[in-house]
Amino acid sequence: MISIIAAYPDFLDLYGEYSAVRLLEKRLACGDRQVKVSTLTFGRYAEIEKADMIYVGAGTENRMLAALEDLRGYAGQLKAFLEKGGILEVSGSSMAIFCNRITDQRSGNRYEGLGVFDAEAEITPKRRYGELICSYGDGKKIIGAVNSSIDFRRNSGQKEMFTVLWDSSKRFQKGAGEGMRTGENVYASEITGPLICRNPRLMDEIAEKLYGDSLPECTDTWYLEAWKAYEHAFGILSAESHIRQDETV
Amino acid sequence: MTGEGHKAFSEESMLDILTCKLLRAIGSKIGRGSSLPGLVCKKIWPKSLRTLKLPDKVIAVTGSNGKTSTVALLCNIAEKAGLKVVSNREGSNQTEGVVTALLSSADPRTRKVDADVVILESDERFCQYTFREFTPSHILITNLFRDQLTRNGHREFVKGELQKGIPDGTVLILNANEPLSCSYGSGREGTVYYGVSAPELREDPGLEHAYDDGAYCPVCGRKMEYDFRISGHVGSFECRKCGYRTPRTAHSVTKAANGKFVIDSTWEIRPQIFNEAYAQNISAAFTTAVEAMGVDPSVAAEALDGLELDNGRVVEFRIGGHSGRFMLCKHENSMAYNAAISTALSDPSEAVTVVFIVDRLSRKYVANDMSWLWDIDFHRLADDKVRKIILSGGFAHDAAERLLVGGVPEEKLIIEPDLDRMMDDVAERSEGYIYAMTCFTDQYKFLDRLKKYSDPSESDSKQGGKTE
Repeated sequence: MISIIAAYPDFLDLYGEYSAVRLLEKRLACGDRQVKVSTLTFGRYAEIEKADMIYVGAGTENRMLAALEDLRGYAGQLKAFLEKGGILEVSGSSMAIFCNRITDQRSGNRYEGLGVFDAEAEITPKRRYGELICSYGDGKKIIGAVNSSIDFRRNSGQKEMFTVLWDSSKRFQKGAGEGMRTGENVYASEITGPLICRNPRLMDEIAEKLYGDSLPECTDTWYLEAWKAYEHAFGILSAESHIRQDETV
Repeated sequence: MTGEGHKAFSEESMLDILTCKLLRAIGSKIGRGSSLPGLVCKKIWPKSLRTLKLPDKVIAVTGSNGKTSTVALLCNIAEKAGLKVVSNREGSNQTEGVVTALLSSADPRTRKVDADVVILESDERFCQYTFREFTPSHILITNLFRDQLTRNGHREFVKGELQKGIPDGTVLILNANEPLSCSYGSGREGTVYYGVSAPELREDPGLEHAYDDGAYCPVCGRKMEYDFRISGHVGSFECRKCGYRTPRTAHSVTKAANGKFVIDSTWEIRPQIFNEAYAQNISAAFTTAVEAMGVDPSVAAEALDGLELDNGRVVEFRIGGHSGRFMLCKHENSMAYNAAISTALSDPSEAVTVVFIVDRLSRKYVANDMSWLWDIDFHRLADDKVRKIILSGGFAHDAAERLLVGGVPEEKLIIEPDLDRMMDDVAERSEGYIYAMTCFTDQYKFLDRLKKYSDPSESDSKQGGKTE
């Protein structure tokens, strides 16, 4: 039995990111692996130490700050979870929770983050929307969107998750790093979409980590449709950006 | 309400009005009569609205959903009450649309807008720019829903942006059942509230939604509770921590039965669309007419009774021997699609087919975000009554993934991205009554193709269409 904790799914619930856990559950079911999904939210505790994965989705800036304060109470358990190799996957604004510090330009307040990533976050009054093509690993491509008002700055030594090939908003230059990654178990990206739903290869890779072995092929219609949707969306963005599947930085 | 700094008119100060009138006449021939004149005049005379003489009653209508319908309902009530109305009801709701409506209705010599009441639709993020130029007497805020998040980010951000556009001294008219927009009234004297409390329109308490924007109090952030919900997070709410709760309403839809809404247990209205979203529009228009425009309630009710707005939002049709209804929704707006899904599920027939088209996100901007699909209650289409679901347009596969992950049985789905082949499927494979739903952007991809399939001998309906 694989145990996944959905953190604050009723609170950090923007841009459909809640669906990531549901998709992982379905993908693992294709491999005949049962998944137990627990919810961690205000007033509802989940056993962090026993989980295989924790997923934290995107929320508004204010909600992200409120979730940070709540999660602070579980800092010890979270540390133990990460040390044992538990997978932490974070999307959108929630990446800030795990940085060293968050500065809120709107109020002038500063907050200590959980320090999982060696990075700083700054909430600005301006929102930006951009569609991206990024690469990772040996040139695999993901697509998605950044809909955010937070600027992130990685300190030297903090690895990124993706390399940006194209950003419609031009906020990211070609070759810039996006998101954060620590070891082989901690991942975060500003990109939503929802990220896992729109990128079935990435879904497979995360599911395979949880599966612990080579993931069986999936022939379910929802999965095949996910691939067709990816190919259609990549085609649109590719036509606009001239980025091809075989392109590298 | 008079714009500040009115100066004696001169030939020069007439120019903005004359130019606007001329451009409006020309623009209307090329389909840009509602925005282009204002755009040009605003560039040349950026302050011209400040020197207009406006009537005492200037009512702005803003919010995520229901603006256009509510403005149309209000205009009808005002005209029925014998009031002369100036409005941007053609739908251009950014600042240039307001400039066009006002300048083109003004007398060039007196700079007086020739109206008893001005009724303006305003985009919620443009209020801060439009209402720098003049102060509306009233602002009606319909709701703040998840809407166009590629442009708007999220509801809290829009709330902050709209707040910048609410002048001191303007009377607010607020939806008592929508917690976020209702909170504008906290501590603001003179605020008027409207609502819907009809038991028949309340949601089944067991109904699950894709998300719940009513889970937490917008004032203190703690868990919120509901006595009942109308749709999603709209309902009778209360935060037990800070005391924020649904306020007392001036007017409310108290009953909904036999195709009628009853306001304040007194005024019967036969609505064009019998659903919870339209009940909110009716309540908003009635309340604003009575409380802001001083219209007698009986006149307001009479104006609304049986009123059919000719806005193309609902088109009846026949295809392949089936009757159907086209319902105009908004991509990137889950509440609009949820209302359409509720309408389809409340159809009295045993079987319905749902057609959902998503081909292009917006006419105004380029975006390919599909995250909004995950906010729509598509899981409700698993209902036995829904026999077929036809998904079409370039993003049909995204929709298919969404529906299948949401638990809709695979055998119900017909996935056909090609729009022409989709029409063949609608004609040949539908079962029961057809509900077709899509956005402004994609509506004519369905309605224009529908013409090829229409059989005049079997239809007397308003089968709409317009070239893409």
